[in-house]
Amino acid sequence: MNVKRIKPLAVLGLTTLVTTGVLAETSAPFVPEDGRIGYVMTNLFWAVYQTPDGKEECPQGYNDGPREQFAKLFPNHEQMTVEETQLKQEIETWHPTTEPDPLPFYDVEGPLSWGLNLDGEVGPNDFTHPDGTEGIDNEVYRAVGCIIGFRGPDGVEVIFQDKAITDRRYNRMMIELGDVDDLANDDHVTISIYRGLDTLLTDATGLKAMPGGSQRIDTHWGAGLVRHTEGKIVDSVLTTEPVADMVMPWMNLGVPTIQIFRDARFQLELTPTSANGLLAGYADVESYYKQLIRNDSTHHLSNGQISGVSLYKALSRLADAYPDPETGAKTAISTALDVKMTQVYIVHPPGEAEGADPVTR
Amino acid sequence: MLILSQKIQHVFKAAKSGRYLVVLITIFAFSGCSREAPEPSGSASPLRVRLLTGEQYSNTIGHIFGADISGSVMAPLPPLARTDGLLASGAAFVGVTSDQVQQIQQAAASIAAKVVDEYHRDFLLPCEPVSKTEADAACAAEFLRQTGRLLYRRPMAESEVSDLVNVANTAAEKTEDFYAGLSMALEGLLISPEVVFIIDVAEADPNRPGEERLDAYSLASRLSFFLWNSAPDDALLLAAESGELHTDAGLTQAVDRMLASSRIEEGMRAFFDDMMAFDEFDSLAKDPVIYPMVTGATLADAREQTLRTVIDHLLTRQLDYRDLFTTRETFMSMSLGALYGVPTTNGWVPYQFPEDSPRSGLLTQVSFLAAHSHAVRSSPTLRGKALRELFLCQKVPPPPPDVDFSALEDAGDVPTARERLKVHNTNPSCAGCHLITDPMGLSLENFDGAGRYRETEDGAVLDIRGELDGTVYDDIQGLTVAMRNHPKLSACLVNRLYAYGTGGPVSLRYDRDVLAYFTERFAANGYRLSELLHDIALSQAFTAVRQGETSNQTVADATGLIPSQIAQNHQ
Repeated sequence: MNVKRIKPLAVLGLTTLVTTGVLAETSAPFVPEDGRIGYVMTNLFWAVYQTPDGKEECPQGYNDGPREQFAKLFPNHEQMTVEETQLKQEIETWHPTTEPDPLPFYDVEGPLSWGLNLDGEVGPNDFTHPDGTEGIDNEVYRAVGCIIGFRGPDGVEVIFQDKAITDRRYNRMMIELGDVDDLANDDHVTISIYRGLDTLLTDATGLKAMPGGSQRIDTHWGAGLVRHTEGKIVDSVLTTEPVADMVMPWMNLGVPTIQIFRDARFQLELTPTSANGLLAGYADVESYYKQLIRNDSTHHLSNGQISGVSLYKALSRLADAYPDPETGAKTAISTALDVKMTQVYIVHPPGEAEGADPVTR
Repeated sequence: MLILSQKIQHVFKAAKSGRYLVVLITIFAFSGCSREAPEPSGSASPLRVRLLTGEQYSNTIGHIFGADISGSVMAPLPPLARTDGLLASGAAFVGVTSDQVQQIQQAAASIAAKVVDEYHRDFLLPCEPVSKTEADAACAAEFLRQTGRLLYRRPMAESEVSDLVNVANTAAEKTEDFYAGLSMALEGLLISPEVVFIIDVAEADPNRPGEERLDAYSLASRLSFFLWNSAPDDALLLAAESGELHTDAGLTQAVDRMLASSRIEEGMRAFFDDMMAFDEFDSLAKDPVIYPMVTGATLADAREQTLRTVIDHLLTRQLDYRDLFTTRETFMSMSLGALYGVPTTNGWVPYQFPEDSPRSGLLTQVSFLAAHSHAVRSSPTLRGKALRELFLCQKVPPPPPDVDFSALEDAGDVPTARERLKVHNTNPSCAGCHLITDPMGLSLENFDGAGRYRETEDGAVLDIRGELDGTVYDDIQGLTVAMRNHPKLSACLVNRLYAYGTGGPVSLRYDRDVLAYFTERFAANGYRLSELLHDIALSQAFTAVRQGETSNQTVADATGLIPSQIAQNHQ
């Protein structure tokens, strides 16, 4: 055996954590070996605050999808051509406008929402967190909260994304915390965001992600996804500083797309085996919509009663950040995503010096 | 070795005649200043008829026709009963039922069809027929003679070739397809008892008047299945045909070539897989609720990890066999990394457990720990039993049929296995055997039923102190070192390897001395596996036939062949 070949792992602080009991749930202060611990995403989806019957947030009911809208728009479609009906709607789906929606669209009307106060202000359009925190910015929720396909646990978008994030290595996003002195309380930690290259470690069912797996960093095609920020841990909750522009791979149904989040930050409850909480920021409206219609055909949108045409208009109408310098129209919309991660050993490239950026080295 | 032994005997005769100085010089000259004892003069092994193992069948088909063909057919051989520690030894005590013959025939038909199909015929057949729709005796004979030699592991008699060509011709005429006819003849070859059985045949030994030895083709087969777990290749058969295999130089050259071949790795993987009873992995499962990290892939990797460790340690780096029980060097895969709690990269990579890790040696690898545990918990008893039976060749008696496990399964509020077993062992009929297994098994309690490290069980700190045959220790490393230094450890490997090589269990009546001889040589050679393989393969015991077991009637009884036919076929 060439012992030298395995040395890089040790050099990078990725040595065995057996003796430190990294995988054991414990109430004792936990200090990761070499101050590093990685987590890999296993769930990521738009945070939608739901009451059991939806009456509180959607008093007017749920929105129509392509089928329902088609019936209303073209009651005499049998006397019309395909170009005048189906193709017309398809064209509008792919080339939507911000013109007022001729059909009714129901925004969320309830006062509560998951999310974070992104702008530090409490305004009239802000939600209140169920824990009472005011000033929650989550206009994506206002747009999608009354669309069946975005509501869990059976919404088509929820199901697809839950599956895609574990199945697809394209979506294998990870964070690595560094300079961690105590996983419960630390006033300064570093956070690096990478994409992994490997299959997710699961249990025998293949459905449940397990801690203790290893992931190599995608330093090639994932180079553009690497981001660095800082944060602090208070009572086991990590809050990071915003990342100016985070690109999130979002492959769904085999189609690779991305979401772009501005001022993106995590708020995660940490344990040695998991990191669960929120990813919040401002989603780029055009990227958001492009992801939706690239991943979902009208067939899928119909199953979730998602009208792309109406949703685009709603997203544009509710956008609340990053105005276009020329038109003044807002180009990004506040949002929050539920995120779940499980512990993973992040394997840096062989030969990488400690602390070096694996991409720019 | 044969010559050396004879020369030393000659020297001792000379000593009696008073030529002391000459004797002394001669001893040094012949022994290389070594004081090693010679191989016992009467060492020999019995004639055997063995059924091919499934792996031997697949390897043979793969080496002759290609891995794509062997891989497309499930080996049709029946499972074997573990006999004296080895499945391979069970092959000397098994026959085939009519149902199994049918399976052998089905596999033969499938293989034969693939060999002559349009994707393979151009490179597996040495000739093209004059017409694809007619019989071609010359081409059929050329192919059958060439292939039959490799399958029978000896040259075919012309009468045998002629019989098969007749089959091919008749079938070709009926089907108007040369290849269909050839396929029929090849199918007949493949279901021959001489293909699916390894049949030892004896002949008079000209170097030892009155004694017998394996004939050259039987010796070639014995060597090949021992070292490669497959049939002899062309070069080995040529050495047998030329008679070189029965010369010291020729045999040494053949063994050296086989040890230098990449096939030795395949052969030794098969041996250690058998010795460590890794066939248990074929049906091993863990409760997914208790051990969610353990999947089929994890267990397959655990088996592979240990085999890689063994091959790397013993063959690639030629290290001391005993150090396998203390080495921190191994290989890691991603699914195993999660169980070991260590990071790793994709594929199999070399890995070294750090000095402060509790992992060192085979006993602390997941393969041993998980295989010898229950589906839901660890088992000090199973681990202790396996340690003794697999690596020390000791026999632990089975529990009595009326054993009461209730005290163990419902031991009350006791968190650790040590305490549960203490309750169980209040029964005197249980305590005796558990004394043999539990002290060393309890030392591995820092590893749960899946092989994951733990320091506590149900909140209680584990007491892992133990004792192995007089060596007392406080921790896992103490156990691994005690195992490494156990006097039975190397003797057990010698026992198993000799049995594996000669095709059946050792006889304490006949083999005691030769096993002691090999064990002494093994120690003198630094416990290096390749030296031991070399010694066994070149020994008199490996080639010589034990008196009283030379009759071809043994073979005839097992295979249904007529004794005279057996003798004739090997001439």
